[in-house]
Amino acid sequence: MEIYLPIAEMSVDLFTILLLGGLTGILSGMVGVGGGFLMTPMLIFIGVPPAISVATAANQIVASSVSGFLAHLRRGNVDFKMGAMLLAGGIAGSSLGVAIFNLLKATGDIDLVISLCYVVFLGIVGGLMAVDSARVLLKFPPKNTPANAPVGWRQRMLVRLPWKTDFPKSKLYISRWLPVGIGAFVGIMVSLMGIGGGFFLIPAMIYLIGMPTSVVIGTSLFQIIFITANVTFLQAITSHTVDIVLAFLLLSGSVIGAQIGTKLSGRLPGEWLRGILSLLVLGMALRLAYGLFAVPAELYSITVEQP
Amino acid sequence: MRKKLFFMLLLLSPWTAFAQTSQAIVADLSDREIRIDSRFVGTNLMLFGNRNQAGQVIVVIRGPERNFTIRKKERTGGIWMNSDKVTFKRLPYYYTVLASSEIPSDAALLKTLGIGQQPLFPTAIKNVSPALLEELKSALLKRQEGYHLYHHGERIEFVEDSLFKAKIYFPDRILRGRYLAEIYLIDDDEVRGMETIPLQVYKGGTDYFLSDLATRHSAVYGVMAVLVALVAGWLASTIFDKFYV
Repeated sequence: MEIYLPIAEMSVDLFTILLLGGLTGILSGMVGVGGGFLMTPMLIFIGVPPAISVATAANQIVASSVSGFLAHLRRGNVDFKMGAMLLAGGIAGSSLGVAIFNLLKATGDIDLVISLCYVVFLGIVGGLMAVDSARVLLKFPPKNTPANAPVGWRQRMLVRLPWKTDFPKSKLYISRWLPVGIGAFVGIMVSLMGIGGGFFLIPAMIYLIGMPTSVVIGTSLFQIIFITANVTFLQAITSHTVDIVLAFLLLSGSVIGAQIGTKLSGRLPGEWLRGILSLLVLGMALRLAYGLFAVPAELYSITVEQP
Repeated sequence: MRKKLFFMLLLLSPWTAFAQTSQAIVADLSDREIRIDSRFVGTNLMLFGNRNQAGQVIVVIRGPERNFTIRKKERTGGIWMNSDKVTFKRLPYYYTVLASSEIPSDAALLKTLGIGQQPLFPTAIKNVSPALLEELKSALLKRQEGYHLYHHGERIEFVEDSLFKAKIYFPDRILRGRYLAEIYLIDDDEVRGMETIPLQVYKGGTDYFLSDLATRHSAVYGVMAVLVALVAGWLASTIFDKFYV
C-alpha cells in the first residue's frame, strides 16, 4: 500500500517504511545507537531526497530513543547524574559545533570534511572496540563486569582529573570534567555530522569513563533524545525538511522495535553487546571510506529550488 | 442622430463575433484540477478535442518552474568530490509533449514556440563549456524522465477525422501549482489555431495543512513533530510495560 508524503512530495510503500523503522528501533534499544546511521542511507536509497531523509530520521530517533530510554529506566539502568553532565556538555558542544559547521560551509566542501571526520573517528573507535571485544570474548569473562574500565596510561591520566564526585549508579568516583568534556565533544561531532552521537558516546562511556555496559545504553539514549529533538526543531524552522508523515510511519515501527531491542540487550552479556556495536561502528567506517574512494553510484547530484 | 447611430453600432459590435467561422481547434481536459491526498500515487487525465481544419495537433503541458542546480563529482587525490556545477534557471518541473504525428526536431516554427521533446534549455551559459552544459543537461533530463516528470513521444489518437484524444500521465512526484496545457493546430509550418487550458494541482486536506504548516508556521510544526515523537515513544513504552513485562 502506498502513502503520499506531503513534505517529501512523493509516495512510498507503507510496509517498507514500517520495516525500516522496526529494524532501526531494535538496534537502538539493543546497543543504544539511535539508528540514524542506518535509517538515513536507507531512506535515500528508496528515493527520499537526502535533506528530508536526514531531518526526518532525526525526528524519528527522538521517538525510538524515548521508547528505549523508558524501557531501560524501568530496569533501573540509567545514571541521571552522569546523563545530566553529559547533556550539559552536549548543549555547549553542539552550539560550538553549529558555529564550526557554518564556518566550514562558508569556506568550501563541507560534505567532504564531514565524510572524512566520520571515517577517521569511526575507524579509530570501531577498530579499538573490535580489538578490545575480541580480546575479552575469547577469554570467557563473567557477565557485566566493569572490567572495561580504563587501564594503563588512560587510567592514570583520567583518574588524576580534579573536581571529583560520586556516581552511585555507575559505581564510579570520577571527575566531573569527564562526562562534561565528553558530552561537549560528542555535541560538536553531532552538529558537524548530523546524527552519530551514540557512536562516540557509548564507546567513550565504556572505555574512557568506565561505566558498566548495562547503564551505558540507557544513559546514552537519554542524551540522544535531547540532541535529536533539538536537531529536528532546528531543521524544521530552517530548511523545512522534516516530513511528519514519514516520521510517524517510521516511528510506528521503531518505538516497538526499541522495546524489543531493550529486552534483547537485557538477555545478552555486556561483552556481546560491545562486540556487536564495534562491528557496526567498524562496518560503518569502512562503508564510508569505500564511499569516498569508490566510483559513486550517482555521479550527479541535483538540487531544486524555487526561482 | 450621428451619436445615436454610433452608440447603436457600438452596442451591436459584439454580435459580429458570431459571424466568424468556428475555432480551428477546441479541446479540454477530463479534469481541470488534480487533488493530491494521502493515497496519491500519480494519475491520468484525458485530453480530448476537435479540429475543424486539417493539420497536426501538438499539445504541450508545463508545470511550475524551478531552478535546477546540477553538480558533478570528480576524483581528486583519490577521493570523489563535487566539482563543476551548473544552474538551469526557470525550467518547468513537469513537461509533457504529445503530437498526432512525428514532431520534426528541427522545425523552425516549433523552436519559436518553445516546443521540443524536452523543455527549452539555454544553449549557452556564461563560463560554462558547451560539453559540460550538455553533460549536466543530460543528467537532469535522465532524472526527470526517470521520475516520469518529463514525457515525450506519445501520440494523439484520432477518432474519425477530426475528433482526437490522448491520455496524460502525472506521476506522484508532481508539485502543486498552476499548470498550463497548450494545444496547437499546425499546418504547413503555420499555427492555424490554439487553445490553452489551465490545470490546478493542489494538496487537499491533511496534506495541504501539513505542508502549509511546515513552511509558514515552521516553529509550531517543529514543536509538533518533536511532541508526536515524544508521546509515541512514551506510549509504546507504557503499552509494552503493561502487556509484556
